[in-house]
Amino acid sequence: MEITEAAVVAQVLAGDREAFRLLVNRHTRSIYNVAYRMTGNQQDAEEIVQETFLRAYRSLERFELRSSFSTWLYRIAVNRCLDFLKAKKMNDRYQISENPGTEEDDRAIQLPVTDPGPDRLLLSAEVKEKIARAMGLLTPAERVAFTMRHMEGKSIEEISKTLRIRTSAAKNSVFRAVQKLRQQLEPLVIG
Amino acid sequence: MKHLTEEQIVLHCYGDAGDGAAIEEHMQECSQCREEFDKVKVLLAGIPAVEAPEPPAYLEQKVWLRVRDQAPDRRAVSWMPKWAWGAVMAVLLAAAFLAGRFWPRNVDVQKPPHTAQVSPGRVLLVAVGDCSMNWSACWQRLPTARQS
Ligand SMILES: [Zn+2]
Repeated sequence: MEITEAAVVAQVLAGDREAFRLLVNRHTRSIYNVAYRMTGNQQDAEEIVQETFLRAYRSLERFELRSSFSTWLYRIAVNRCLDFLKAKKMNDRYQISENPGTEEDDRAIQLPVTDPGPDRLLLSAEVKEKIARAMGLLTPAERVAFTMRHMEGKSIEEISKTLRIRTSAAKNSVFRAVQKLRQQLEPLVIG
Repeated sequence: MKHLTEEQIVLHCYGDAGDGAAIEEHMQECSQCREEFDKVKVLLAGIPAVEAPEPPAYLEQKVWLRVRDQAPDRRAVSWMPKWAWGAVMAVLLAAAFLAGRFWPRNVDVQKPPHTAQVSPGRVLLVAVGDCSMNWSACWQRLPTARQS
């Protein structure tokens, strides 16, 4: 018989720290995937996974045993990602002001229009790279909301619950993200 | 004719516009908005869900070791809530103060004069006084002491 996650959590709360290992083994991979999607970087994703589980362990008392552990953990992970992206943005801004002139060249996206084809994106490695760069131009909230909606298939309600924002704000973040991605990527669509 | 906003078009791609039926109705009649909608749809369809590469080897192990090393052992600290530790400390402090105040201080004249006379109550008082000077350190030490 498979032990339920709520039972495992109860065991950890009763003092059996080793039981938490089961939850780590079960969810590390999926949290890593989420963190990688949000950050686009392996080291960052790894760090976020570690912080997520540490945070989860420390605030385990706040987990309601009736709810889903994976949803609860996912929400912690997404907020870790958001905090991480905010901190990174601040750091980047600081570094740009320290070293002006290099950033624009690096970030400008030159889109290839040489290979005419059907109405679709040319998903070459180069285009993937450009999508990744365009994602990097979104604000942390836009990036997280867009990733949740577009890549993870989460509903607007789930986004608003996870980020503790109004549904109108969640919708607005998704819209702003798509608007920016259009500006960057639309020339890629061969029409 | 009032055209759809970009926001309506984008959100409608995900079915999140709210007034979906009205948007569809508008696009039946307005080729301009329909074209715009199709353009956004194509663009979004071309943005794939990012696939994460293989996580580093032994990531689960690493995560677990970090939790084990950095997170508290619940057996040591969680059987009593933090506020209860506060109450216990307050009672101990009060008891030590009263003991220090009312403990009999009669000097035992039969002992050699060079031996220092310190009543147990005063030791406790001094200890607690010492502790209260560095209250946070004591506070930290209490659960740790239980662990060891
Ligand atoms: Zn129209």
